[in-house]
Amino acid sequence: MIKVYLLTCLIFITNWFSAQVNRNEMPKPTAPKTIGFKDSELFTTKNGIKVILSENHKIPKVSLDLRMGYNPGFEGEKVGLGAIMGDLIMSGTNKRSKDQLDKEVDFIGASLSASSTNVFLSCLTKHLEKGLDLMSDITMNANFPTSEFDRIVNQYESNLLSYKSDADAMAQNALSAVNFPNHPYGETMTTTSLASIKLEDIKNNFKACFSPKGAYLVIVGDINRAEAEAMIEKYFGNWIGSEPTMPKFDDPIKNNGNQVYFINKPGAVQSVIKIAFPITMRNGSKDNLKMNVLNDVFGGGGFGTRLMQNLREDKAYTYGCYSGLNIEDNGGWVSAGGNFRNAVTDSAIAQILMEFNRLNAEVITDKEIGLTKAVKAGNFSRSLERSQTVARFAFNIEKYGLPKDYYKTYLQSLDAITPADLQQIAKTYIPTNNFNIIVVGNEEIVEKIKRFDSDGKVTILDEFGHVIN
Amino acid sequence: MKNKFIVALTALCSSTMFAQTRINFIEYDLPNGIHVILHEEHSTPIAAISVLYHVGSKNENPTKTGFAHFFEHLLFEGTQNIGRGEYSEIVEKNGGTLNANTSQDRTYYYEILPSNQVELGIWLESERMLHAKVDIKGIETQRSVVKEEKRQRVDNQPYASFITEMFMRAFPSHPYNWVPIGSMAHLDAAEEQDYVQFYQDYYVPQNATISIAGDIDVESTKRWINDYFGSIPSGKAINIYRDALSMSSTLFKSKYGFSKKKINLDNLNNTKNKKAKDLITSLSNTPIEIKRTTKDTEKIRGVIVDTVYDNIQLSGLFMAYKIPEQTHADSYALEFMNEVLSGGASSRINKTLVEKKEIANYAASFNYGLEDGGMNIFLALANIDHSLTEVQNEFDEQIRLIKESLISEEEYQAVLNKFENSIVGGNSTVVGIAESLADNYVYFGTAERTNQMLENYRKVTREDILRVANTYLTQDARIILNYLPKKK
Repeated sequence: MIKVYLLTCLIFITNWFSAQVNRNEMPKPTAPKTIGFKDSELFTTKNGIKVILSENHKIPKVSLDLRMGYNPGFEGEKVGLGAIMGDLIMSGTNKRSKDQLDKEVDFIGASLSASSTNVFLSCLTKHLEKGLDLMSDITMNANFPTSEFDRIVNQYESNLLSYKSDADAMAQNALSAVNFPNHPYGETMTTTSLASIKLEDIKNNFKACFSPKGAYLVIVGDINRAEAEAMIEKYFGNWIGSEPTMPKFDDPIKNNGNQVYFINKPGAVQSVIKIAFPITMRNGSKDNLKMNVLNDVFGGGGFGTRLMQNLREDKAYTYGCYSGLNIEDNGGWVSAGGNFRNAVTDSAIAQILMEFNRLNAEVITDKEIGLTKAVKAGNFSRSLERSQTVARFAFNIEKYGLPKDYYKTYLQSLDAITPADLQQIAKTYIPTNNFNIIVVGNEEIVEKIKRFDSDGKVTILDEFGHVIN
Repeated sequence: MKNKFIVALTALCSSTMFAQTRINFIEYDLPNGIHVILHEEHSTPIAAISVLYHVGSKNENPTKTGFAHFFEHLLFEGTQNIGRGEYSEIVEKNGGTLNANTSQDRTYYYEILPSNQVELGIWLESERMLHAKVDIKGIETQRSVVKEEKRQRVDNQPYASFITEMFMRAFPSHPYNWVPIGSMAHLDAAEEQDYVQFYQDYYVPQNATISIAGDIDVESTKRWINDYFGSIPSGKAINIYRDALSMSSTLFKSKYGFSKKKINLDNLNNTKNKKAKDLITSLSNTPIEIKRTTKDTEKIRGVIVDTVYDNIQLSGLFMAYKIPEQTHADSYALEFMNEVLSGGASSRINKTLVEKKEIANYAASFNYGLEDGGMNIFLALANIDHSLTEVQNEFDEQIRLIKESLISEEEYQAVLNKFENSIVGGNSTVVGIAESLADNYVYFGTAERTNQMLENYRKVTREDILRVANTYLTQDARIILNYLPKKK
């Protein structure tokens, strides 16, 4: 009895004193939970499709992403061929007109889309048979009607015209063109290239590119292995095609000093700045994760990065300043920048270049690397909320030959990265000059950005990234 | 045989149990008036912690537009216990992410954190509510940052001014007259007193809803909410506390008649001085009168046609009709109507304007619903060699058709299927669930609406769609903005 009494008394006293919580101290975390995910299943169909299945029955939906196995190469004088082919895949089949197709897709509330390299379906499980019927129809029987070809070409003509008012689109074109000369990534569609594309080219291209051989089918959601196998056999069992073309491309080399490129946008109140350069890194390269961490310290996202802290939080030059690391199958590039008011365009360029130089000259502090690792670990954990993520892991391991436990040990690999590692990475991949400095903006700023060019000459580009003489 | 039977049974079940996946939640009020909504699910070890303040640009002083959004930026600067620049760093350092947004009707803040850091998120948001702290450097920096945001999102974007231009004409006498980004000149004119007043008027417990979703333990979450938010003074008492922190001794004394030293800042309710204690008790019991706006009832007078010259290549047509507040029963039918007109490739507007007649490069319609009223907007970018008159005529033809006869059974079913697909697929992230629950509670009166969306759409009939088309698509009262390229 006495014990009970004392206990109540104690509780009473504790409550009394803790009535007001201590706000001066940041709360401590409780025990961390383990982060885990289920392995995906892998199997290959008789006609060569590599299937990656990630079951998830949380909601009654299924998505299927069919990715062709070929590697897109040069389009030469017909730049835009792939893009237009992609847009036309849903323009009708031997069985269905475009109107019928659109109606049937919309009727089941599905999303079905296609590009030159993939076909994607997402729908409720109860409509899966119907969805697959439509998906397989466009994949195997797209028939490219002339009327739709003409219409899409007209659409592109208008789109190409509207580039002139779209600073981001112009900056993107310029970036591709100057980073990747003599490389498929450097090709941009123009009115001239559009005019040279013929319907026959599209049909031939489709025959060459769309094939089960080497293709991946990534299935995510409310479906099990047996159901998936049966459905694939039913809807894609008869699909045949040629061996995928796998051309190889060299990494571009850039050693012409800092180059300033300017694209005029009359009336602009801000400049779009992109400071960019290609890197010798591709999907599957072993330095990817370290380069990723370096980019994140620099400006890869979040409020705490160097670019954001310097150009937004300290100088207030911009709403946001970021750097992007792009690693693709045939090459990679880094691009840093944002939107800056006219008056500070040159100062912003100077600051971004200074920040690039700091990566080379100084060792990254433990505090910064600690913050970045925490952000990345958080992103990784949060990404597991989406069921697509786990399937993407399996796809990357399979396609790029990553170690089987790459994602299982991701957090450990991340944690093991040291400041010295990052300095090594910076020295290997970040140039000290040889930056492409791309500015889309008002003519009034051209004089002020000359000084960043190694020979003092600003190269003027058109909206497609081509040099204007 | 057995298989067949099961298949048939499952088919039966799925057609009769045609319902969305339920989002379970609990909700309650703290004594100081904060509404709390908690949704527990353990699929991923993360949690979203959010606070919705029922204040937006429509609560602004007409000579200080853009203030609510600017203020949102300032509330990342720091608090009494969190130094400048540390707020976001704390979140990111702990593996989380954060952001906020401001609309005409609300200001919404959230963090997504690993689920062992829920207490941290609650502490951060309670700090933001109780005693945010902003210094001159912070104000000046954010003022410039917001201006850059406006240049980037509005001034330098083709056609982006149409929202501002539309609201200006559609709401001449309601504070929807201006949009959240506001005016740069007004931002320059903002003074310290404006910040203090806005904080004291709207960032108070009774105007806030906490919504937390994810891998949480309900009991400890409730306890933390009680510790950090329950201890925030209620009614007008929160502002005597804030004044004691921010005002000079002299100023405080002249406002309240006693020295601020008399107040126990660690625990307001434990204030010993009788005069101070009496005042605090009385202020605690006096709710703050939050200035609410009223529903907009003003009709568009006639057909307003204007031309806007912009840095564009393709001409654009933007057309608006007034529609009632978002809680109006007709809102579902209006959404339905817009899906028939412009949802998906098979929709009427896409099939005609874009595909068959090739007049437009892009064309769409949608309803812009808000707390006090809204607009139904049609927009299209004309293809080269086609005029805005052609676009206008074709829109008018589509409007005539949808006002003239019932939509087909097939169109009706297709739209319902589309709603089902997006509702089932929606609510798939904890941050989305937290937001949906809070929004539905504050603006629609019940968080349960999150679970009723499909039902709400299913109640709409084809006759309803015909009726709302005729009621709201008034050809003699609308706004037409022609966007033309600036002359060189």
